[in-house]
Amino acid sequence: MNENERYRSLFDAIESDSEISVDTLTKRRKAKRAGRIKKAAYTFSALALFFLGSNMISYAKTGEFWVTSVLSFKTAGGAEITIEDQQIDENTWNSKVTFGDDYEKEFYEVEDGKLYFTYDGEKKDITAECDESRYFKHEFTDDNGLRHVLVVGGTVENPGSVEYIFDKDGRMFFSTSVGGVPFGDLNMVSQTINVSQNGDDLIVSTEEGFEDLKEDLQEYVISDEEMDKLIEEAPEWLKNAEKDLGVEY
Amino acid sequence: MREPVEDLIREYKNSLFAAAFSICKSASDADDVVQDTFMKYHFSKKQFSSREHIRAWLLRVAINNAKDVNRSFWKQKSESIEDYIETLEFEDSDDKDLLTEVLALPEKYRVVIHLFYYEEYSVAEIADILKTSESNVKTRLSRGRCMLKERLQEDRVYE
Repeated sequence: MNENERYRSLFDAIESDSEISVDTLTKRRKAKRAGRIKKAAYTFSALALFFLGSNMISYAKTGEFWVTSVLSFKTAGGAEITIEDQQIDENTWNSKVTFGDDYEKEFYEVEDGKLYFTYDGEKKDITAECDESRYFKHEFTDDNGLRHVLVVGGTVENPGSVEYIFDKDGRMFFSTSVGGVPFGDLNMVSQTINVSQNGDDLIVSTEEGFEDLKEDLQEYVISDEEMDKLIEEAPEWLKNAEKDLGVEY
Repeated sequence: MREPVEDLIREYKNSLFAAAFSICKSASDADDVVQDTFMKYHFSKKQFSSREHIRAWLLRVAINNAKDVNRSFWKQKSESIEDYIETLEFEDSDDKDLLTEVLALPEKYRVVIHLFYYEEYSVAEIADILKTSESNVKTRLSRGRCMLKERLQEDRVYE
């Protein structure tokens, strides 16, 4: 028996005993969808607006169409993120955002009823600085000259964190968050999100890995009213942090 | 082109389950991954160029989902892998040890080895499925095989 045959015989012994049908798939989808679309929409609309902002900067600088800019950076969690911008014509912009593999690392911990900020070998008790409306903040500048602001807020029972990244002109162009915030349960792993604007339409599309959201996001136009409502649902500490940092959507 | 999901479930359910299990190391999590993968296919409007394209897409989605499960808080609910392996029936009595060693490899090596040996994909095809470079796949395949052989030779279950 060669290597292939031996390996195959191992996994041939493993079989799924679950019954899968169109009916079970439909029921499963209904159960999973509740509550996720709004969270995803909040994330992508926030991303889109800032990416589109950066596209417009590119256009203003060059004064011509078909502009492509590429920016790669690392988040505090270690995820590699690449943003490729392109202006198609006067009214159409595209941004392709690719997320790397290491997205799960957080910079806070809850231990023995206390909330700790954990980053770069540091472990600081921030319990007294955080509650439903207050937050802890840590800043650093990376090798690309980008300013990163790490924010942890909320209670020990329901903490959350968000990282804001500002460009050299002080414009916040990217944010990512984990736990206790509207989009904290999304697992962004090795995938690409395309954001484009055509006139007044904002279109978000995804590739594999977000397929369960694709139908809703593929041509999801986010109105100002919807955006306001989604932001309103954010916790108080997050709203306060964004107000203090001058973050606007 | 599209294929009826019922046909795909019949043909690929166990294959996706094996791929997911090789990553999650949990039968219940692998079952969830397989159902989510078919659910995504069924409700997606994505068009495919061939049956083989569908198979590769299903595997990619299943692998991504399984990796997500591994990173998720909910992974903590998973059952003992040793208990599960004891319930399996193998042709060769050494296979339980062999499977245990395969599952003990780091995830990045397990995925590549599984696609190469079980799904019989080429290095180029694996690179396309995992959205990585061929050299990366070759490196992982080579290191994974070496690690596996060393462990199996120690246990004398592999010739």
